[in-house]
Amino acid sequence: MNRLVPLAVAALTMLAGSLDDQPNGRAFKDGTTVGVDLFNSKIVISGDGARGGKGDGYVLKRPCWYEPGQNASEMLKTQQGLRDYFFKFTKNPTEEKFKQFLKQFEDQVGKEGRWWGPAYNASDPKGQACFSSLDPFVFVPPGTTPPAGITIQELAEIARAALTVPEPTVKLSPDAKSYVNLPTWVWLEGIGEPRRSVTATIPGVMSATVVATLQDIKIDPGTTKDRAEVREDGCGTSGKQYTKGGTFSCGVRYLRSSIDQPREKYTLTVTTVWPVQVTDNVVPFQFAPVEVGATRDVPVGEIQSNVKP
Amino acid sequence: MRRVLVLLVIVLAGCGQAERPYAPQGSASSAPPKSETRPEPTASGPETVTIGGRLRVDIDWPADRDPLLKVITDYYLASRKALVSGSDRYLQDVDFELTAARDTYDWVHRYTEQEKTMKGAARLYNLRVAAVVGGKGAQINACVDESKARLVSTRTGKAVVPQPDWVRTPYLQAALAHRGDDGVWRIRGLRYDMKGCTG
Repeated sequence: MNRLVPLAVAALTMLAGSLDDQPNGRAFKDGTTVGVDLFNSKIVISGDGARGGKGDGYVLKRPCWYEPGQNASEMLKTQQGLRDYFFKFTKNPTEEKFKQFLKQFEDQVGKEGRWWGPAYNASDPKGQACFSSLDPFVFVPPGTTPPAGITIQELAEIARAALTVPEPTVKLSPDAKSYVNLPTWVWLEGIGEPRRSVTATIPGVMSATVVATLQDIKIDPGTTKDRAEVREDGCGTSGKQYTKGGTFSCGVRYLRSSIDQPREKYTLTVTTVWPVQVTDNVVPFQFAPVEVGATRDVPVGEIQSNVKP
Repeated sequence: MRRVLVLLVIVLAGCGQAERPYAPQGSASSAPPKSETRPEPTASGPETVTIGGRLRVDIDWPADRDPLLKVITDYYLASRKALVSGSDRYLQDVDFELTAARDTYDWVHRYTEQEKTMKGAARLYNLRVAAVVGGKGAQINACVDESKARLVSTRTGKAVVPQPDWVRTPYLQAALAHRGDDGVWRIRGLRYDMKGCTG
């Protein structure tokens, strides 16, 4: 027991070291291009479409914006409270310079309106530089939006960028291997509710909700039309599970063996199509559907038959 | 809690660079932009800087040497001078907005207050301006390899155990800079990606 205590302490010390001892700054992932990772923002993302699932790489038209913050009195009080920081971290600080710095906040006291500050999407490759291009704060009269100030449409775009849908599992029959001219039935599992929504909210200011509803699936057999016939008329939103004696109306009939294909298999892709609507028509704007695909390898063989006279 | 943090960050950022710019070094309107007073770097290739006789820094300047690259090399050299010497006064050489200044002072103090210094060799490479937006915002990246350096106890002179991740593994350091109306590029924030320079 006595030996365990120092070991445990050492392990905790090492863990603490590894967590604290990072380079200066905030961690980010270079090269990220999809999703929403809000920084400096009050926007709250919620809804079942924001958890798990797979996005489609929707890119915001502008990855940074101003958001409303404190009113004039609150801002002045906050800035006055940062006096110690000012004198510690600025070059050659003097009382006169601090007063000069505060004056811009004092000038707004008694006026209606709010100070707005910059925020950005860190998942966008240009998000951080865009954020840096904005001023640290701007004073905005009530009922107006400053240049680069967030709009309800941009809020809906943020919800759209955060929207994910379930990644389906493709089921086939026959499952392991198909044969030339044999119907390969296709259906999907793992989708659950065929409706996903995401709401982006600036508390007390505005909110936008987008809803994706599964409408359709598309089948790509992974080869040309002369080698495969696709049936989608009976697919609905989740394909058609094989039933003995049933009518084949969703799947692929391969017309040639896959022996000459890479890895001797066709790669079948099923794409789910989720049209997206903005609820309550807060934005007269049409978003492209979310489309998420899943693939399966399909080896296709020839059926050999021996005919005896 | 999150709202409070967000607010604080916005507010702190505000101290460093005002809507009507506050110019700590004098009148913004009368002084020429600081960036114009600096010698414009033009030469490419390696440059070696030795800090306090203990830390050698090799900088691999790219052939197309953008003056903005000095934002990140100046930051790096100042922060390592502070680490090697144990004095944060070298951070005054860097143009920061307040948030980044506070974060950098805290980062340096984390080590100097534990009586740690740095020695060995470091390398900055793959310097690049990753993005410029509107002529007022920029992200400047550098790969930092400090695997031939060590954090050392100032009392014993021995390498501390364990060494931090940033000493053991090359990483990507990014500076986010804002150009004020006075023409000065100030660092608004720093970012890192531990896997950004291993590929």
